[in-house]
Amino acid sequence: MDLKAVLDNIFLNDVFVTWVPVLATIMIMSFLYRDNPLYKIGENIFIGVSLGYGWILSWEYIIDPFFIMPVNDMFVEFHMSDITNILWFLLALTMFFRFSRKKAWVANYYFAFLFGYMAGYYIPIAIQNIMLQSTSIMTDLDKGSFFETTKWIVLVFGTFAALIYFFFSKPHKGLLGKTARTGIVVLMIFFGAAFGSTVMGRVSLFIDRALLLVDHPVQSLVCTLAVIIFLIIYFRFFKKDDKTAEEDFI
Amino acid sequence: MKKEIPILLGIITGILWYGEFFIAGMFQENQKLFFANGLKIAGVVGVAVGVYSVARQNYYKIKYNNERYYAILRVAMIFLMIFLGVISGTSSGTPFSSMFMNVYVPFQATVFSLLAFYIASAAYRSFKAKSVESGVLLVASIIVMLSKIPLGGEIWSQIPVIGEWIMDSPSSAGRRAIIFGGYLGSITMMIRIFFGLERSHLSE
Repeated sequence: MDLKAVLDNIFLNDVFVTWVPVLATIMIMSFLYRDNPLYKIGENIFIGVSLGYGWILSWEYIIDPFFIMPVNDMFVEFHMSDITNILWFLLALTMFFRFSRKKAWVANYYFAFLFGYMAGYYIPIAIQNIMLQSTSIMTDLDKGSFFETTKWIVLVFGTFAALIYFFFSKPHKGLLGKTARTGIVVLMIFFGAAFGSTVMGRVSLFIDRALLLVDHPVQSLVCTLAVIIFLIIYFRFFKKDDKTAEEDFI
Repeated sequence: MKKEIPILLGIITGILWYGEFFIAGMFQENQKLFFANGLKIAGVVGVAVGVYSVARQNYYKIKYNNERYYAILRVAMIFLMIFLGVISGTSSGTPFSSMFMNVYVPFQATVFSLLAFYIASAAYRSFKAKSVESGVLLVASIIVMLSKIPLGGEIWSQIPVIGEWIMDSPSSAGRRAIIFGGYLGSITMMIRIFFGLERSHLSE
């Protein structure tokens, strides 16, 4: 039998597609009770799969176009400019010296080049971005409605007040102090809104997980029972000693 | 030799690229390509360094029995994904993409959804309106949360409008101020590298 067909049979069949996501969800959810081996197994599968996935994509989008193909071309027809690529490659290989305690300094040359390049390249762009941010809010005051106009006023003066709060070269007294205090309020609203959005994002993810379990009732029931039985046996017979740090935390 | 020459190299490279932004035609196209190729190759070797680093970490974990079986499982999953990627390709409808959709996505979504419980727990213990500022934070977060669910509109029809106003104006103002601060901080850091004052990226 063809290897591809075997793999297709394993990874594309209904059993895999319906049971594995449910089992993965319940394994990770078991952490809500306490840190346990099932959670750790799930966590390590997740890390392994994400690393493998990332490396395969790196091969496809970085190594193949920027290394394999140029090397192939080099063997077909050698240009003088290929020498610079070989030199770059040799220089980049010095990054491996970072793993050595005694010879780590060899990598300094390459890192100095990279950071110097980044510094020279980034400074004008960052200044340009600040200017763009600043100019993009300097628009026409007439926004069509009172509501939209207040949005603009609060945005402009709120940004200014919050920036004044970060200005420490003068004591925050008088007008400067009042503006800085307004800045704190603006920042607090931002933190509150960011918190609210994050919570709702997480809750929607949780609802999505719950819907998956609802859509596969048999799998959910079997997996939940199996996980509960495992946890009871594990904590009753194998891990008798106490509360974990996570439990204390909750 | 170990630090001085690299710092000088960094300063020269920094000046060259800073100048390139202002002086049109400072570099020929092929000279620009010379640096661009260097960065591409840095990406290639960077991936190799990452692979070596992960392999090394897991080798030591397996060798010295530091959660050995979890490390073996991790490495096995890495090899499985590489094997599937090489054998079946990465397009949709392949075993590789099935692993992504049915293993990676559920694990990732569940890990992040777990945070909802911990955030709620942390909020319950820390959200106390002891001052005007903390009260503002509490009210803003409640309004934003209510504005994103149908219940908010049921309680008072203006809650979604107020939520939108908060997100669009005061919240956006605070975010802009923080982004400005971030930019200024990163510019300062880059200027320190530019002048050779920052040396934390260099080894002894």
